[in-house]
Amino acid sequence: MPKTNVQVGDPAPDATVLDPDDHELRLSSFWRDRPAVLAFLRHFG
Amino acid sequence: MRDDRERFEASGAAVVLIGLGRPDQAGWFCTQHELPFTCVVQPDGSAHKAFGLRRGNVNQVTGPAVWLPWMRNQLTGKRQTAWRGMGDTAQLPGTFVVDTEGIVRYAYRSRRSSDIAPNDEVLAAVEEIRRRKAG
Repeated sequence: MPKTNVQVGDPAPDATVLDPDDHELRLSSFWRDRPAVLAFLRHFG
Repeated sequence: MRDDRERFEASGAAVVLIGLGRPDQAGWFCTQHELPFTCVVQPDGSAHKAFGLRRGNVNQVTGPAVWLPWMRNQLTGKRQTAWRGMGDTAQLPGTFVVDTEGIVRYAYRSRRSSDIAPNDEVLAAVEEIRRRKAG
């Protein structure tokens, strides 16, 4: 996925992520029914 | 965000923490901190890159603006979990609010590791989406 500089008003990139059980999820599944807050972290800890 | 978990829950938004590392580390983190949020990972960092989040330089990751708040947290008891070798410490964080049409309504890219989006701003962005939808 290319590096972009997403701004307010732009479509959010629909990246694929993994849940704790190793299942693939699309980010769009989080904002389909309600607003989503996406907090990108460096690491879990 | 951890300190305002009730406010985030009450906002009605889906709160998703996206880290680097392994899926089981995400599960461990959410369980360990009893977070009512969704924890997921993107191991190769491509999701971070897609949102324009970059890796920081040495000063952005280890400079005084980073370790002074960390030290203050240690002294005031708001300790962070010891780093367990998960993810990428040079990755700069960021927070985005996305509406139900998939449009970004709030974007905050951290300028250094200790710089995080103010919870009030994030919650205000969620509230604005709900107001627009209702109105």
